[in-house]
Amino acid sequence: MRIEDKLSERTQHMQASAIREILKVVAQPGMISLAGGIPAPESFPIDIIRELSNEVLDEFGAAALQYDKTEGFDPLREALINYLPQRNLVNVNDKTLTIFSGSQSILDIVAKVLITKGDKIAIEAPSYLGAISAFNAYQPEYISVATDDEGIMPDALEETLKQHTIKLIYLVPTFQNPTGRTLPLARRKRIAELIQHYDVLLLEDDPYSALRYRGEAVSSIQQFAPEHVIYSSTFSKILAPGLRIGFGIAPEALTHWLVIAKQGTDLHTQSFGQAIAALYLSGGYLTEHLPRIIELYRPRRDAMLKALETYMPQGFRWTEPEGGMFLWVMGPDGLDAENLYHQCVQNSVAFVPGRYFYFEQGVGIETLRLNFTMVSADMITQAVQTIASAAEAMMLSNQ
Amino acid sequence: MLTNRPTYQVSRRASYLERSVLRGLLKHAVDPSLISLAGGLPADEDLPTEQLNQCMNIVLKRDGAAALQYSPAYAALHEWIADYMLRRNIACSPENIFITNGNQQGLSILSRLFLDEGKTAVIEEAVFTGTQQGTKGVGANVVTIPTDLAHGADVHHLETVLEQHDVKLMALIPDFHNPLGVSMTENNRRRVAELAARYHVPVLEDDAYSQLRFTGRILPPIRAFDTSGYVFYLGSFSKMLAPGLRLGFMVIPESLQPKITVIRESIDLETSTLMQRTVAEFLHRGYLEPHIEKLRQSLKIRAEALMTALDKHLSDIATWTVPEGGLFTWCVLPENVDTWQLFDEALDAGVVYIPGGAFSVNGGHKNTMRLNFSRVAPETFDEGIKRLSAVIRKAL
Ligand SMILES: Cc1ncc(COP(=O)(O)O)c(C=O)c1O
Ligand SMILES: Cc1ncc(COP(=O)(O)O)c(C=O)c1O
Repeated sequence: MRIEDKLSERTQHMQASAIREILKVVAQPGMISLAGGIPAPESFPIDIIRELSNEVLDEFGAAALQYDKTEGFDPLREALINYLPQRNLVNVNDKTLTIFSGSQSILDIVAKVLITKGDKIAIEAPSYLGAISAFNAYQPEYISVATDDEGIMPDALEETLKQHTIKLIYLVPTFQNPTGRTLPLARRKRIAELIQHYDVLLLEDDPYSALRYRGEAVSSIQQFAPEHVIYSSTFSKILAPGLRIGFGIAPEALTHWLVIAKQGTDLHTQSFGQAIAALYLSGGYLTEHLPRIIELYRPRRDAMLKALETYMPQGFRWTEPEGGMFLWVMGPDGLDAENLYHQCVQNSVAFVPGRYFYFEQGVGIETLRLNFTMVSADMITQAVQTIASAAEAMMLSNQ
Repeated sequence: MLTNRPTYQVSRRASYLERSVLRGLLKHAVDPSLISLAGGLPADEDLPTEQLNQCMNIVLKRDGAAALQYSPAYAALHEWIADYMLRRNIACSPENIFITNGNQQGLSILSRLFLDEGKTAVIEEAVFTGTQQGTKGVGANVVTIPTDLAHGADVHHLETVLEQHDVKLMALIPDFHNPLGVSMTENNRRRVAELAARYHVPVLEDDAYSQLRFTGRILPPIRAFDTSGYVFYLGSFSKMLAPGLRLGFMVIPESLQPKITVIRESIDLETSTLMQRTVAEFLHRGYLEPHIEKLRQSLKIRAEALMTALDKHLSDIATWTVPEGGLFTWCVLPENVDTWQLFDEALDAGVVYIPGGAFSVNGGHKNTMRLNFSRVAPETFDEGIKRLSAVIRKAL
């Protein structure tokens, strides 16, 4: 008998994503990749981290290497409780904050606490795939809610809430991965009302809002309905993903369960990285460094928009995100973005076909996700040019 | 608009979970004003703080951004671990190694891999709460086996359970059991490997302590006797090095790498590459063996001091396991003593321990306690056990 025959039923729902395979292809040398979803290495505050890693032991001693409580390393918790109100985007206090091993682990733990097999999760489509893969382990059903250029549509959400018993809504309202869309304030307020009225929990995943290059910050939905929202964010995009540190803010009664579930998953998040993050915040280094990240990414984002404007053939539309890392291109009906991808890869340019961000088959065929943070403005222009000419050639040959 | 009071309904799975008493007691365990026999942590002075700091410096300087980025598993760490496993008689290659955030995560991953809600897992009757959380955390139904205070998990009983139940996973702690302090005999390890093969039931071998042996010879792991591919070995750097790094590993069949990777990515993507590289540097510089040797000496002295204190103050009313390694001894008191009830009084007297009942899966073990000897200064045990003895005697 093979060990493979012994696996749990839940694992059958868990498959490697196609994006993984794409990312392997594009790691080849010489490729200009707009496919990745990771921060630019030059955005990392390496010198600051080196300095802080030496300060950690002076500052906290052995506590930075010992077992710690599941809720998180106290100096980091305090630093966040001081820092977050300055941005005035979320409500937080000592009883609602928990540190996690990256924001990915919040997705897993929230589902672990809330989802029983067959429970329904409402999601926007397209959606962040890592969330779907976290939820899949708990065997939910998904209900997809319609979106437009401004993100999820509140009326469609209300319809869903009327028709189904929804256990959890999952949204990335700001600079969404993959579309780059941001939900406007009025919609946020309306959704806050809906989730309170229908007494449904919302998981508001917010890894990107700090990376804003244009326009005004928007309040989180959490601020309007703190008893119904689990807010999630991360140090991955403003410090370094290799530390694996995220944080969640949840109603106190739920935080109790999240902490218990986290104990069973990893006891607590590594202390040393939390200590570095604590000093990064409390020493004012984030405030100093974040503008540098923004200055690094803004010209890249601008260059991509300009190149799209200049080169893309008729019939293409795209989002114009004011921040984050991604932009979404929608081709004319009949365009097969996967075909386009293969054409482009032959010319050493890569992106992710948008269809992979839908959990349903056969949708989003004509869409593309482009990342604008990993390569320089010049290379972005060059890459968009390549995509544009390949698209043009494909459209001609289709006629 | 009408605003409802929220009703947070948790999943069926979550409702099986209980908060670990151990985590709750951590604050007492590290409170310097108490004589703490409650913890499960190394003494601060036994952590290789300076060397880890040095290694992190080297890594940040050498690897730069690569040490901070999302990263695939760090190959050099896999290689070192595979080599270390060979030295422990486990035939394996780097492709068999899977890095985790510690054995707790290994428990969690393998529980997901093998257990569905309502399926049966076998665990020991008095056991580390994390073992219970890992298995119950996926909604499994647990069946327990007793653990003998001289030979470890009762393998005879295990076989009976395997006969009678459709078991999907068995989790065992063969070395310096938490909380009992006992190790399985070599022969019983071999028998467990045979049972796994015969009944086709995966074994989760949870090894957090084997290297902390200060008396006698380190025994081969169950995995060393495995010929069927059913034994999954979990090793942790928590006790060998430092718990706050949250670093451990599993030895798994290469064919399961893709599946386990998907599960892992759904949980939290990956283990901090900075921590992986820092530890890999520590290992490559040969810092581990001298560090462990020093740790063993420190533990030996402390364990002996605890044994002396127990002999002096409690030998007429209690029995306990004599540890050959690890961090704990298990102390059994007269039947009518309830160590939960005594806890607050002991706290007032300035000494803390963990009531044995905290580890009990089915209730019971009321008259037992787990005593930790890794944190307290050797000369303090006498006073600690003297106070404890006074509290116990009042209750007799
Ligand atoms: C929407 C979203 N959520 C969560 C994550 C996970 O990030 P991390 O676990 O590094 O915090 C990502 C990463 O790309 C993301 O795009
Ligand atoms: C038997 C046992 N398994 C696992 C663990 C957790 O280890 P880690 O820190 O590697 O997650 C412990 C920690 O106390 C333990 O005693």
